[in-house]
Amino acid sequence: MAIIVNLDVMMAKRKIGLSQLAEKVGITNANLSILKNNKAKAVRFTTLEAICRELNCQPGDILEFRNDD
Amino acid sequence: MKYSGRNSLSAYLKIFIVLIMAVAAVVIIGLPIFFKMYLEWLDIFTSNVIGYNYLLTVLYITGIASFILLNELRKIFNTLENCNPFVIKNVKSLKRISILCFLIGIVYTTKIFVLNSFMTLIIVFIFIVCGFFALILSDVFNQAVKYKDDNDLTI
Repeated sequence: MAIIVNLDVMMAKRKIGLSQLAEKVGITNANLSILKNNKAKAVRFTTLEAICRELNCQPGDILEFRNDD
Repeated sequence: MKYSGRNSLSAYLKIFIVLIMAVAAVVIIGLPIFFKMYLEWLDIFTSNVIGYNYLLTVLYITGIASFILLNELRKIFNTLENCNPFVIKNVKSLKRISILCFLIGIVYTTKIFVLNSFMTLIIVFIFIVCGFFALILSDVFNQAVKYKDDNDLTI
């Protein structure tokens, strides 16, 4: 995948656990885990907005583009 | 009226299908006896052995095919009861149903040439049409499964 989700880095910086963030954002643990492990195919803007608000960061802090070749 | 889930129309239809399957199993096992009884009751049992054997073969093939078809339907209704119909298993089930429908249609097509009746023509028509419907429905389900996968992985 060319788009990498660096959610775990940001979560570590803010010292917040997976279930805690999931509860604050309003999604299930399973779904947040899918997102964290780069298994997701897409992210809704509403979800991204909520995560950024809770972690107090920019989308660019969570998402990263890496060229495959 | 609920259409899928517990205590819904699909749940009751599944019970109905199981009942039909039980009756079908009894009929298939005792087919030669029942068939003979039926012909005697109609008072047309003759020594025409070729016709009798042919009809018995037709009934066996279509009977077993129908039984497998009902089983596939039962599996589909099972997933409907669990509120999760868009799985690849159902796509395969519908494909199998279409093949079985075509098989029954083809077997009855041979009956047109051996022992034709108006009902035979109707059966051939219905099963061929059903086969095509099931084939198209399997493709629709296949697309739905893809959409569902995409949706499930959108967080």
